[in-house]
Amino acid sequence: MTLIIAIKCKDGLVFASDGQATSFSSGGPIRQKYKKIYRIEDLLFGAAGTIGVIQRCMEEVKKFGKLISEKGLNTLIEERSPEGKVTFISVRDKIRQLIFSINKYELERHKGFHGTEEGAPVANILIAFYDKQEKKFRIWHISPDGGEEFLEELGYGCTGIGDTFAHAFIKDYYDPELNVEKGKLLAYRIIKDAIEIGAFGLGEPIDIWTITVKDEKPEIHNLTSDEILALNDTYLVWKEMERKIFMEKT
Amino acid sequence: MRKRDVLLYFIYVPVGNLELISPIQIMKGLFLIKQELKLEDFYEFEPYLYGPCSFEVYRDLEFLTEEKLITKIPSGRGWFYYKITPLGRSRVEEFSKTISEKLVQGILEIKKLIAGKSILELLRYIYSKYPEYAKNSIINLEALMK
Repeated sequence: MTLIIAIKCKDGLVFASDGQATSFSSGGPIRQKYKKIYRIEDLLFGAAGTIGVIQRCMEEVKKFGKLISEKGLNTLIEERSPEGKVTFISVRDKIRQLIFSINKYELERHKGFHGTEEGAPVANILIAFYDKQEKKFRIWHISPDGGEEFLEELGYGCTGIGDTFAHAFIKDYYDPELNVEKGKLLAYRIIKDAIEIGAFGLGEPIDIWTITVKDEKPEIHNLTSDEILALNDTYLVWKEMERKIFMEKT
Repeated sequence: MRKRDVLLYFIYVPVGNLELISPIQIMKGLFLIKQELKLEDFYEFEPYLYGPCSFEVYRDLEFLTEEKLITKIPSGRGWFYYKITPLGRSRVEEFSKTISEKLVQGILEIKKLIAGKSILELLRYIYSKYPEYAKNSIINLEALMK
């Protein structure tokens, strides 16, 4: 089970996830600590779904990480058919095709074995990066069928089984004027509260990354454990303040 | 004098029934120790989202925990209190022989102050006395200062 959140801030981007995976042993489901966000060149890649499928999708995205980082998503790449015919396709569409193929294969394989598509292993992907060509932060969501959406205009994106919880919370707090410092806290709070409620099989440790830009170059930072502890204390103060306001006599 | 020893001593100093101490109380206590007892070569604090913060304190809390000088007690709400261990107590006894009575009294007074205030009262105290460390706070200071 997973919750991944990307939040665009006025001075950067925050990308965060919970840190628990549920895998299936012969004795039943087991909980494991699992890293869900990976750096691929200047991209941050996160995904909800089945670990094996996520790994395969990530391998494909890795092949184009450098190209996207340096030249952007719409860069054309050459494709050669078995007959030798050359065509061009954007790296963006190529990745969508590959993700579609991987998920389609898994669906068919699952259906062939179980007789239904229900419960088939798939990957739902969120990629965040700074687009040097467009000079803006992008939040790129690719669904298992290869469908895509860019969420930076909305300001945030969420994926995983806890995402409805995240959407319900974030809509009341998100503001485009939010800075990265507060964005980290907002991401932490959403994931922490989702874990505390415990309805989604989510767990710690919470993993938070930031992308900021200096001299037109993206700077990517993965928060250290002491930075996470400081966020936790800030989160406690925030909740304490809310309790005080709620309990205040009118 | 090592700052980590002061941290351990602060966790240890007995005040009333306060055996357990939260990370926020520790952070703000160490900040007051630095400011009010004028300790040099001590933790460096920066204005953070909940007032003065030194990330090094968190690292040292982890270190002291690994060394079994302090222990973590779950709060039941997803975070931990800290408590001195018997091993930590014997370390503190050694350390307390090396520091001045003035420092011992100063640390005791600050721990009493910390223990006597809620989290928000403590922040109000620090924010009003050291406003330069409140500039990045997520809390609306005007509302808090009422």
